[in-house]
Amino acid sequence: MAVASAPSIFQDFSAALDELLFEVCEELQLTPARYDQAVERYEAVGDLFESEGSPFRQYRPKIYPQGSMSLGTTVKPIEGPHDLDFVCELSLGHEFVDPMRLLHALYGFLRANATYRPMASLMNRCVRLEYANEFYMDVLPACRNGFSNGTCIKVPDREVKGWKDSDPLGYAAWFERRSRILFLERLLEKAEPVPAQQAVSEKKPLQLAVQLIKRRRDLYFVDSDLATVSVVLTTLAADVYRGEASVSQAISSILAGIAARIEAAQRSGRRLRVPNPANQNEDLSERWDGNSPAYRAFQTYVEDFHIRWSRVMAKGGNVNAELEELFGEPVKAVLKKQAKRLQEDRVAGRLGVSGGGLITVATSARLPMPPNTFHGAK
Amino acid sequence: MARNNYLRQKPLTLVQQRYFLSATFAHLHTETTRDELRCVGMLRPSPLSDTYTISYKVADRPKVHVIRPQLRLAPGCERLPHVFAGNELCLYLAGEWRPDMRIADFIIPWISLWLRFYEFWLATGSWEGGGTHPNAPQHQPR
Repeated sequence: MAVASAPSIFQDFSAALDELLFEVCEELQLTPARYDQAVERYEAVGDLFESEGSPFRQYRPKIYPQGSMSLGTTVKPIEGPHDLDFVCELSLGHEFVDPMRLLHALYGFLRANATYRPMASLMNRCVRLEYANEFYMDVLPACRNGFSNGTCIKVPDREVKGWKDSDPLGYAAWFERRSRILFLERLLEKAEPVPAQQAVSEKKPLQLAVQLIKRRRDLYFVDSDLATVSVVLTTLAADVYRGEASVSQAISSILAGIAARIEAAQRSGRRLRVPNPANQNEDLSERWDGNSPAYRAFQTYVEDFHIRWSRVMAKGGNVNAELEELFGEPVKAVLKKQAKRLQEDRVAGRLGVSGGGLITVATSARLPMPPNTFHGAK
Repeated sequence: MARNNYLRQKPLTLVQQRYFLSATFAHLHTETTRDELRCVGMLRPSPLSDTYTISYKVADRPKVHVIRPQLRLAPGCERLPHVFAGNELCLYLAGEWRPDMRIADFIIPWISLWLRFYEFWLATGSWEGGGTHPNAPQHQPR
């Protein structure tokens, strides 16, 4: 963390709340060690695709992360390991390839390898490699979209027994642009190598807000199979985000923005449509078609979160209980860490008190904190 | 803050204590009678804390209570940590504060610290502020 360890150096509620939320996100995302491990693992898979005897070698396969790992929005699932998505893109137009044969070729290739055989299973659009106690690595085979330029790809889909459009690099670039709307920095040209895992303090408020919105979704839908998919929430959040520099204020404005869109859709008698920003013809929310309970559940999730979040922001005091209800166990873990840091600072004689009783680091304090021993029955 | 711990100083008078309190924490309301100093006021230990109204009474030693908001129990806990009977805060061991020490410099910072650790305890069930806690359930103040 870039900030000093005393939890109370911020004079202001919103800043202190942001600090707490940063730390919650740190609890939620892949640990740096896990992240490095994931990079190592996918590079090893990439090497295998490029190795002598690989049927993919001649098509110069490129493997790269997509989804939360490339966006910097990973969230630890309530149960089980992180689920990380990778694309294995071949330099080959899709019109020359049979999608089902490609998916099965990838599966067969990994099954023929002694290391990957016990870990591989065939999914609808990908092959899943299960690294016990680490993460799931989903590898989607892909071809270039032969009818389109740029970053558009086609991926096999077993349900439709054909190709589906995708553009993970285009999407990541869009998300990056949206997260920087406040900062006039130039967009990274190449999203390809995994961005070195960002410490939470370097992350953009939009990334943090998306992590928290996804975490709230996981808890809200814990016993339900109607949960709104991550790409829909991520796209909506990035789309309505207005460049707030504070993560708590970003969440407020994102929830208000999504609620306003739901309402506008309702007024025109339709459901909200969430087009893929990298491909306006693709409706990311197509799962809501013919599944109105899922759409209604999405609406109540947003409404409930919006009300609860407004209460947190309006309270302006001790919101620990409210935050724990919203985001669960990581809040408790962070508070425990903050309490331990406070005690360390106290033992080291770094604490002081300023007018109003605010505990601060001693340099800015009016009074140094004298040593004492809390007494009495526990 | 260097203090001579073996050379006992003359106890501060209630009027002196009150003067130092008002000088450091102007928002605390203080009043003295012939043999008692009373103080009521608000403290907020961190920007993410509630504002607590506390009161204390000095006769032989300061007795501190939280008036508002009412102190609560952490889930699964049956009693508040580090309190005497009647939820009087246990802030220090005998000898850590003496009547020759300013209440403003010692007792008030300790109240803030106690409140902050209390808030963490309320959320986590774990008291990270250390301290001693004799096993006797009806522990009496000295």
